[in-house]
Amino acid sequence: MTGTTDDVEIVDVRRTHRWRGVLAVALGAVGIGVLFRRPSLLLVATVGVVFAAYPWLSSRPEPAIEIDRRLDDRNPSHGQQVGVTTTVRNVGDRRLFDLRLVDGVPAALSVVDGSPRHGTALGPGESATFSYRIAARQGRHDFGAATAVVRDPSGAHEVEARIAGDTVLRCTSGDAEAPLRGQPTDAVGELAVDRGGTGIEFSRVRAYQRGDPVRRIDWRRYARSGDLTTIQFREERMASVVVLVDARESAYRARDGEPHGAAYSVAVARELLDDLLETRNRFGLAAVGRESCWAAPGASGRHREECERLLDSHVAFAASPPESCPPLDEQLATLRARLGDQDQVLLCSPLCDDGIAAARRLDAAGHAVSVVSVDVTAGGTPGTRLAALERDARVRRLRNAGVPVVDWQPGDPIAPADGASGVVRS
Amino acid sequence: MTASTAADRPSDAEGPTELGGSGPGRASESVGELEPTTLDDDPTVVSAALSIAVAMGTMLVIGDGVLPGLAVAAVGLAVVAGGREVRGRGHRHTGRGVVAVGGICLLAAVWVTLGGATPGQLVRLLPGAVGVVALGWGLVSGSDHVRGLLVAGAAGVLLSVFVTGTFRAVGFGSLAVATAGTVVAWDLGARATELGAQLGRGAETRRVELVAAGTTAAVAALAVLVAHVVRGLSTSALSRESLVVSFLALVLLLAALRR
Repeated sequence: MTGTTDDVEIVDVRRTHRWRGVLAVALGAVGIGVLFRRPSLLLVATVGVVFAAYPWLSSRPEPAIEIDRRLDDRNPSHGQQVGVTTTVRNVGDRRLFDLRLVDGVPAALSVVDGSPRHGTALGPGESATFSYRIAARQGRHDFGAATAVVRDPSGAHEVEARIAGDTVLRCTSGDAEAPLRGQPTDAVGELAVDRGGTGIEFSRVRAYQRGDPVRRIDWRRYARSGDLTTIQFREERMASVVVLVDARESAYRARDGEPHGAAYSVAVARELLDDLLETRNRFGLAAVGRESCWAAPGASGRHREECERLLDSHVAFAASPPESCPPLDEQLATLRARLGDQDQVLLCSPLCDDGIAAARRLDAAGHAVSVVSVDVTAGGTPGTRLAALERDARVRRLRNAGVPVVDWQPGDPIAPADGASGVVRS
Repeated sequence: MTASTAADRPSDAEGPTELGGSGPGRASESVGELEPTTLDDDPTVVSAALSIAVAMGTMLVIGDGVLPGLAVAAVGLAVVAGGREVRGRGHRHTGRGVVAVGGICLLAAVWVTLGGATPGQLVRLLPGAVGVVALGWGLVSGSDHVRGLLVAGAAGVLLSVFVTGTFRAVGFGSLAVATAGTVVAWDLGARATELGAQLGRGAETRRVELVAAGTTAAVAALAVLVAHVVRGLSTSALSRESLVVSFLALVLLLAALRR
């Protein structure tokens, strides 16, 4: 990315008053000099006065800075270390005596080597480069604006600026495959349903019934044994899937140094969006959290852009946990009212509390529910071990209730738990 | 399970910032407890070392026979810095022990400086000796009170300079240089602290530190030069009283301008 000077936004201009105390040096010298009649001390006060006048000699700096940020790898795999090299250039015609820069490292990623901060002095046209390494985590990570603090030589004037950029790091696990259940729509698609029918994939052979098309009769078997049988094929139907992201406070749990569950759930939703639309299904987006988020299922390119925009910037998916959320029951009731009859729900949640198990009610209400649950529990302290056990129990309860759960570890491809995607378990 | 029973904390992406405002840049480091190597907010090394060296140089200018004491102080500060380093690498108790040894060295330095001093020297050099130790301890030990120690240390050295001027122990030139040196020592120490807090020791800051030291040194040289010029004027054209009055007027004018 290259930020031009147009991207420099002055955030704050302030005086530091750091030389305020130096007048005391002058006054002290004068006081002692007068008291003890020492002319040399009186004259020494001149030194203090010159320093006191120093801030007046230099003026407010005007930062004209350009930033260029390069990544070793824009599409790293989960856990891979990515080198970031940032070059800052003074594109103004005045010298910058004191430039302090903090690069806009993505909120969910941590720096593992080097420092994203740099202090330098730059003449007109000069540039400085610094580099550091970050550990990639699954999801899309936007670099924020870099913060620059520029001071005049005396340090009395300080200008804080933000230099915008648009570096993005995308980390995906590879081929995601949505764990769908058989709630087909009437439209033809890629969801294979176990209802034997008129598709192209062989399903089974059954005894001939009156009215079966003649060309479906298994004539070879008839020649061999004399039984009249009919070959059936799988029907393929389009699925309409609403991906529901759990972004309530409890979903913002994290392992040390890792992104939190909500960030991973958004990453999962993003990969499912790609997978579902590429396999000609309909994708809808919903969230429970501080604010409701809703995009009705659709399949158009425009719809895809809209969903990506929501995942990038909707307030429900913010990086910091919500202060408070509306009651979950209310949010789920609203969601139920919005869901179409043929919509199935794919819940992305770290399953950190029992509340979300209420999603089973959606299942009971006729919307097939599946769950992709990122594991953000860790061993270590008794508290974290307890949290892990409780999550395991939740996963088991959901599975016992007939809700398929993908227990997903970041870095693994997202795939149906039993490897049999899209087939109705009836 | 309720949220409170789980010990794994919700990851708080927004963290406090040193530069003011919030930005994802720093946010990642607020996960900083996990990456203690990336944000060490001790004062930066170059400016801190220069600050201590200039403060010691100031004492050398105004005091005779302070060199052994300063040498011991330098060793003590080096030991304290080493102890901090050891502590930073996870050897808490060893590090603390080494820092304590360094602290004892610093006390010894004050004793070496003042041990054989005459009462006059004691009055002249005590504030400065304590001041250098306070300034050095503040910058090296990773103390939370680094700003206070810095101001107190510089004030101690300055007091020594003024008392020395009162005793007429050194010439005008040395006095002017020592006063300017004290201000430079404070400025460098303050920059080391600010840079350490904003960027951390892990960041590359040498260039900005050296440029800042150079400009401050140039201003100090200018200040000493101006003091000599004013002295030349006072002995030739102006009476001492008129000089004092005009000088006070100048100081008050500057003070008024700052409001």
